[in-house]
Amino acid sequence: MKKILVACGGAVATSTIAAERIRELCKENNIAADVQQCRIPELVAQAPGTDLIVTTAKVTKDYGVPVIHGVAFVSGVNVEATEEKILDVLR
Amino acid sequence: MKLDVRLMFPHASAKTHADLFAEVGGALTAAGLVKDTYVTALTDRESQYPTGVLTSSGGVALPHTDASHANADTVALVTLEEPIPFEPMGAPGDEPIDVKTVIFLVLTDGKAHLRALSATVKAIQDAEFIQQLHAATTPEGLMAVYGERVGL
Repeated sequence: MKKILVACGGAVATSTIAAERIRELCKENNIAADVQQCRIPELVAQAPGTDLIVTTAKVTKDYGVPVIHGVAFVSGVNVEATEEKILDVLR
Repeated sequence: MKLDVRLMFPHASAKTHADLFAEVGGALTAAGLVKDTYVTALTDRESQYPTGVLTSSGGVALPHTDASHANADTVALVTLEEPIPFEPMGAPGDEPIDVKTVIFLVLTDGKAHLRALSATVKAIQDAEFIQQLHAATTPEGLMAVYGERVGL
């Protein structure tokens, strides 16, 4: 089971949208995934043990886990490229 | 999630973030829909995690705070006469985006409103929807355009 963390500034709006799309993407690609949402400051504590972090806000820290920028899920621009990157990490 | 005509601001004349957040935040606070901490939280959040988004149909901003400052779930909508620059989500410090459509998401629990949120995000990518929002000249009209589109 892949563990994915989706983070944004408030953990309430954009992470909800991105998390839902990522769940769908995993289903479509037969990837068993546990997708959790959190706020950016919570990443340090929650990152260990996860396989991927997707954020809709900028992060510069290294969490020891691949970080993919997920603004495309909100803007609709370059969504496919973002989804490909996510699948590459998970496969 | 319920829409409220008091939270619809067509052709608003706000020229800065401060003006905009004070006007909309004030209406939300007066209606008891957010706590007193809301406007400050909104301003702080915007500077740390900006909410400007550049879709294929133009610049939109989605200011919001975390759930602790909201008392209810709703949306305040503003179409601006003059664009206000917002920094892009995920890239603060990058070129600001000129925004004339601002959607304030007031949420006590984002996961409970996934449908409305997803519909909103899809809608802002549709140039025709943005045009329809800007064609509204009354709060009722603005509310109708948005409500119909996202199913509220």
